[in-house]
Amino acid sequence: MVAGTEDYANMERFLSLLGEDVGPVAITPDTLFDGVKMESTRSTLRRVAIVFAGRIPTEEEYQSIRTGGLTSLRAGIRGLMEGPEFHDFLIRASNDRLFTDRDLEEQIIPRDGLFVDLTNKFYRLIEEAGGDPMNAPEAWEWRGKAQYGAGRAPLELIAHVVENDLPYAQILTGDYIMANPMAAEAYGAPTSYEDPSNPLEFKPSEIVSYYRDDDSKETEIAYDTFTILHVLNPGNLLTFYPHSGILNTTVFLRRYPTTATNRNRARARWTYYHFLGLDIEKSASRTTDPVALADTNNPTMGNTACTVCHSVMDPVAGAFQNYGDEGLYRDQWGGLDSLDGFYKNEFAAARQTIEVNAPRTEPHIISISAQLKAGKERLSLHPRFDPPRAEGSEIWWHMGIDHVVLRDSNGTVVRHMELQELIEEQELCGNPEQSDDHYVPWFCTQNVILDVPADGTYDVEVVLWFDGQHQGVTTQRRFLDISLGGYVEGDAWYRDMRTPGFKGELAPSSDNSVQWLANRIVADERFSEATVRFWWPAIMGSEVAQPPEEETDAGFEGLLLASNAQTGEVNRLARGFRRGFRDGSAYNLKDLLVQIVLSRWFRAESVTGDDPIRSAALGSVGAKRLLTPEELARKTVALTGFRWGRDLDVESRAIHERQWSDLEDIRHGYGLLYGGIDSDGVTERARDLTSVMAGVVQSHALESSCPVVMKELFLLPEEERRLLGGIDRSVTPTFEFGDTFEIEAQSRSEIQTLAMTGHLPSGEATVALAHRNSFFEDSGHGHRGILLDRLIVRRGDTVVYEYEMEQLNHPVDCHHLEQGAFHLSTTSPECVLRVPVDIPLDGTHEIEVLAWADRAGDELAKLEISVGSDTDRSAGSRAIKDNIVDLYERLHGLEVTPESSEVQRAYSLFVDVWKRRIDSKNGDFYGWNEGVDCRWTSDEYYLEGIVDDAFVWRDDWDWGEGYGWDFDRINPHLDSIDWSDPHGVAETWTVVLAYMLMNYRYLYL
Amino acid sequence: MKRRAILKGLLGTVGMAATGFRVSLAHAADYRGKLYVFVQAGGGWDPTSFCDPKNNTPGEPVINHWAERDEVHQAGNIRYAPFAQNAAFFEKYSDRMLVINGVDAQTNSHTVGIVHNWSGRNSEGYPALSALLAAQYGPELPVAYLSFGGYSDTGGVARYTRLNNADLLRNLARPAENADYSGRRYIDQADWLALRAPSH
Repeated sequence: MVAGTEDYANMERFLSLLGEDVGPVAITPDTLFDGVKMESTRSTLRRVAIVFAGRIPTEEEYQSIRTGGLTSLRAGIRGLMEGPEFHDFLIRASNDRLFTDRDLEEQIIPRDGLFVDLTNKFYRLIEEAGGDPMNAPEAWEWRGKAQYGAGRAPLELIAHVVENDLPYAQILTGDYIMANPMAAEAYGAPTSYEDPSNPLEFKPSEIVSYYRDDDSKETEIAYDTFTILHVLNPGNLLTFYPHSGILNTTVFLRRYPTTATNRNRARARWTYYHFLGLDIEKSASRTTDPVALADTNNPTMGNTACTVCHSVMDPVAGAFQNYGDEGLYRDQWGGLDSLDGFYKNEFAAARQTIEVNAPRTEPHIISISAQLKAGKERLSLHPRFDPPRAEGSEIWWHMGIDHVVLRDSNGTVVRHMELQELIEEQELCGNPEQSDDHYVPWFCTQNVILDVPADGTYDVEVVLWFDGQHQGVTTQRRFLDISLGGYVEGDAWYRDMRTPGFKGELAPSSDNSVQWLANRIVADERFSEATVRFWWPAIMGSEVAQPPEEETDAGFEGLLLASNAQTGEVNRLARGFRRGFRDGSAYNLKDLLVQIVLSRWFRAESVTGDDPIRSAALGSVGAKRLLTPEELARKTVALTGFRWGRDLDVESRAIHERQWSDLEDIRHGYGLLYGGIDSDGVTERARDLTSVMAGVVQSHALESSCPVVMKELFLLPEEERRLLGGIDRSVTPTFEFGDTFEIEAQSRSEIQTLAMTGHLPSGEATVALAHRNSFFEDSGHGHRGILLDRLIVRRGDTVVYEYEMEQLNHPVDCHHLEQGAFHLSTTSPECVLRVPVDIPLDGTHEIEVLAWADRAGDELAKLEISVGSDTDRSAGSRAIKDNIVDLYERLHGLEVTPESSEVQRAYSLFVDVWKRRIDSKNGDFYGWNEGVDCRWTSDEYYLEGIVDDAFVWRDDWDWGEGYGWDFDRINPHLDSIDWSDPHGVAETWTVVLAYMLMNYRYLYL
Repeated sequence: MKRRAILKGLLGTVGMAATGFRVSLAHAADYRGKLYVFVQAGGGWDPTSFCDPKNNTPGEPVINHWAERDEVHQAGNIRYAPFAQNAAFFEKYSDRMLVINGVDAQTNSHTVGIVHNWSGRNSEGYPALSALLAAQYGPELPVAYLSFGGYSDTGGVARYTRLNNADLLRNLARPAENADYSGRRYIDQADWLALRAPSH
């Protein structure tokens, strides 16, 4: 019994009458779904097929789940996880989280000499094209494809792992990079491909020819235009690239770039978010007290208001130490690190400036204190005048540095350095030979490397003096800037940040700390929970519910309940993912996706009762969500064969053959407007249908329905139709039966009896006679007319009705009387003869028409005879309703009957639209003078399978080269089509189909 | 045969699309009221080099290098940093400008701060100021609130529209008409009315 239901209320009242104390029973995550109706397995399979396969299930797939319950449904869903549409789902869903597609058409891997094969291949292609970068399309095309290969690396890696049932951890730990043939070539990798010219074929590859920069590399600017570089000698710094799945793909790092102050923290933040499910931003409450935040002494290390997050985030940021702001490995000159120049030159743990004026007899003893790390630390000494010494000045002075002492926190001397002895091993900025007992610095920075035994606080004492003006006389004051603790050559990470690591463990090597981090992440239980959270929105349409922030918020209890319940579901799914579901292997993402769509959060259909907390908690239930523009476009093309505005994207066709459509195109089409993302500023899909989005729905329906019906009823053979199989253009709402006859008789003496039999209900019927192929010779002498003599209706042996056709008084000038017969001249609908017949009894009737015809042209005259009754009981009405039932099932996934209200409404629309056409239709399907455009050309694949090479590359157009329709091929085929729509049936179906495409059931999952 | 006539029309349509003209948003509707524009410049820009200039304090770390060489400038009542093209900007617009340097966002979390700056609350689900203005001043307008990304929660008081191409609105305003080819439609007018009739 469910709280909020009538039964529950009755029970409550009953117990109260018995004197029981009946208090409200709180809904818990365990009882949240009590009384919630789950959808059928058939419905689940259909919805899942739309998400994973971009289509609806085949009849065989439906049959496979008819028995066997969840087991067969599970297998059925697993069967949908293959093919290009599932691949697209994986790519799309992954990008919805990582947003790496933002840079898909950017230069992701630079041709500046780091990627030597990329640089030189590009150079070579320009050479081969004649040396003009402005006129080397093959070079640019190759480069574009290579960049595409680099840009899709992380998403293709996820797809590769999932499609091949590999352990999901490989998305982070995979020691390879996915690449298409061009990217592999740019990386210098010997990867083999089935089709080396196909930029869409991705294989595991590796970065082989990445050479870091130093003096050993020799390059030349081969062309100033676009600064085309040529690597003459790659140098000595060949890199063994430490691949680590997604984490160090260039495009991922580039999407979350770093700066001199951000220092990989964005990379750490999103790594935590995507792969550990931790939103650092929301992970801890932090003060906004300005006093507590007034801390200029590296607050991320010491201020608790900051360390609450930074102690978690910064070690992971450090693990990304080798990747610069554009994601390139150790991209600084020398190839030792990716640290920014300002830090390397300016940072110090402690600084001090002293005015130097003490004589040698009473030297300065300067003490500077700092927190130092074990190993090498730097002491920098920089003498200067104030005002500064002018460049080229002859003025010198004599400063003597006697020695440097390093003391630990206990005051114990751990190092004593006579500078004139130690300095020789280092880069000099002074003269150690000027004296045998002291060191004379010049006007530049002298770095002294200190060997620190252990982490700790140290004092450094510098003993120095001023020994008078060495040359000339000046009134300038003399200073020595001393700094302690800063960049030392070989450092890969910032000394004023936490050491690279994860969860208190330090990364053992700076060479491959991201690889180390990846292995730590996938070993963390949170990785599996994060994986559930990563994929949840692609299916449910919303993030896993977060707990509400404030108790005073509306619906707080329900939202909290939803959050608790969904967190529980995430944990359950994550446990299964770690162990392996049922007999499956651990970390198999397909199995996890199956479990997500089998979850009650996806399959809940309707809520019983009106408990407000339950209603609020289930407000985000995934059973009905708006399809994304990509899903809607795929659904329409799968169901109808038509993709609105499908554009082969001529500009980028050479790069990656993308098939944009108006619904998906975010730049020129409705993609953003209909709720899509651009992976840049707009990263959240819109899930509510707005009035403007409704306009998109209408445009999509109106511009799609006509081409669909045109193809179904005119261009495709019956067996290939998807939606209107079994429908004939003669099947009107009143249609009972009919046929089309060829007339061989040429004169009254040869008069021919055209007969057909069918069932008619009692009441008024109409026999309609239509000339189907009238013809006039250009000379005006030949005319293929039909002469109608008599109409007879029989029921068994009884003549129910007999009519001499010459008595028919037809108002329109499309006939004349000739030889005692009614001469029917044209095919125009207004010339269709309709003879009312009173049928006294239900039963089988025979219709006979006696006729002959004139011969002209190369065909026999064709007479269509159809018999109609009324729009409620006719065979036509039944056929139309049956087809509407089929359309509801196919388009909306709704199981209805001809008597269902939905079908009645659609049929009512059909009749309304059709009735207007009875007398006004002009004959052909949307003839030009009707003012209606059937815009089939918006889908550049429209004639695929109908006319070979209908849309091709052409270079014979007046305005140059380009892709376009080849009407020399198309016209002969279209000329052969019978476009007649004498009863307006095809046009009526166009309107009804648009009606169904606009329905919310079509637009929601 | 009318097939050629159909094709002729379609080719006309394609041709027009290829050389289509642009309609600016300002002309898309004859709107005379105020437009409110909100920009969230995320990513750590530096107001001390723009509209919240800070001088360096002797003995403390340097905040701004420009302050080593110059003083804070002022245009009207607006103080600004003598940096980049600031002078030209502030001298031109200062008399039409109110600068509020700093609003207590109740948090130092970047993401929560964004929510607070737009909605005035740290809780999710409350409408952005843009949504409130749209609900107050344009509840009857179909496109009262344009969002180009970022926080755009409406709390149900208005609907936002994402728009990257104002020309598209022309199509959507009259979806039954072929906007590229005057007088042509995608559906007969009577059919269109029937399609939208409540009875169906």
